[in-house]
Amino acid sequence: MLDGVGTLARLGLAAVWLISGAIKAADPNGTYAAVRAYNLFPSGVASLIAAVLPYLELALGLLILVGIGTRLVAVLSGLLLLVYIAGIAQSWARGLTINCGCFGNGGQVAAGQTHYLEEILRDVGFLALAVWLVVRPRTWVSVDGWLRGRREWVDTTDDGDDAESSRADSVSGDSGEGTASTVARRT
Amino acid sequence: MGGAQRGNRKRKQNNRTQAARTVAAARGTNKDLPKIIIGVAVVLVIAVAVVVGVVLQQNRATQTNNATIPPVTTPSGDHYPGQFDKSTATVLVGKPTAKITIDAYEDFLCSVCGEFESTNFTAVDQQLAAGTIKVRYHMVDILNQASVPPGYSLMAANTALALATVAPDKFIDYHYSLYQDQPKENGPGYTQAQLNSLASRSGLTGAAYQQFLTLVNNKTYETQLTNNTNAAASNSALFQQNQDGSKGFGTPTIVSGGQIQNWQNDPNWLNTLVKTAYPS
Repeated sequence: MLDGVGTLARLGLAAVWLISGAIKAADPNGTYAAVRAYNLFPSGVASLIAAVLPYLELALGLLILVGIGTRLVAVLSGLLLLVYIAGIAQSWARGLTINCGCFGNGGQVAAGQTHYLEEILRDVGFLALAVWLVVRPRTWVSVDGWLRGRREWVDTTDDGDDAESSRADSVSGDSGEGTASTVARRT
Repeated sequence: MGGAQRGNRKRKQNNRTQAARTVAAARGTNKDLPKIIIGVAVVLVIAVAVVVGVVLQQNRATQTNNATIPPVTTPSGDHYPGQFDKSTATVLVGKPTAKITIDAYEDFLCSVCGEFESTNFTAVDQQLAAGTIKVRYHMVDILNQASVPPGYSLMAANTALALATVAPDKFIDYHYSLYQDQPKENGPGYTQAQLNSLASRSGLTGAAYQQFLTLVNNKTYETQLTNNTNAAASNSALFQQNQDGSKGFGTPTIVSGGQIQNWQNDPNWLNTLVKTAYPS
């Protein structure tokens, strides 16, 4: 059941990154304008960020979609979202009038047309998906799950204790700590 | 059940613990391996994405900067003169007897200016040839930061003035060419070499071309152009209403007789000007 929730979180986060990355990649000039609107970086840095960001988002989307290194990718996604939230918040605090450009259309907007609160809440929602996957990265139909399945199969050839340890391992996600602690308890 | 037996069991237990440790150590390496592979895969995919982004950006810049800007000849440009005014760093085109003077404030990177040129220049060109209007071109650089790298607006404006200095009659064609094949805002602009090449292909040769190059390389008019931009940006007579109701200076701004021309909403703006000055 919880795996199902995790799977939805994974697919949701994948959709967020793939859609926002594709929109940004399709309009490189618009992406540069959006980065520049934050008024944080010299133009050389802004242009590098604008060049890299769309493909970074697409890469995160792809990785989380296939579910490889789910916890690591969720951590990276969360960090990127925190950077975005900080960027929007500082624009708000500085009184800039910009659109976040989260899904394209970034840049200056009229004074009454900012949506900072909505943009931050939306990103916090996305952040919640990432946090879920950091805490509990186990989901259905993932490369991680496939790899874990292979390991369990190998483990069953060992003695009985391991069956329990690999179960513990499964619950805690992709780490090998379950086995280590079981062995430690036994000694 | 003597001490020997107990010792024996303890030894056995020790052995077992030892074995468990070995197994754990061995398995520990095994367990870490998939994690390492996954970590490497994630880092690799992200690294590839970063490289793809940078390479694509460089390709776009190369593509723009390898292009040859096509020289476009205005239909009637030969029928009216151009005149460079050094003191104001502006260019006045049209016959001296024309009653109407239009002041055009444009930025070479501004896409709406490109739109203004493509929708209005045919009519402007006809009126210039007919001797009813003169147009004073004020080249401003409000979008100087909006190219990658920054600076296209100012560089293009300086180059156009350098050309107007040595060959004022070629200015209108040069100006028009840069709007017909205009670089996009927030993308790579043209390089100085591309702008020079356009000047040379527009027929600037020999001593005139050398003098042009000197003016270009010394960035002769850049200070004046920047000052003009600042002056325009703080001249409330040039302010137009923005979408949100605030007022400010933007490009293009087309002014005649102290009136800002509403060319976007009134396609007849030029006809109206001409009919008012030359009632038939």
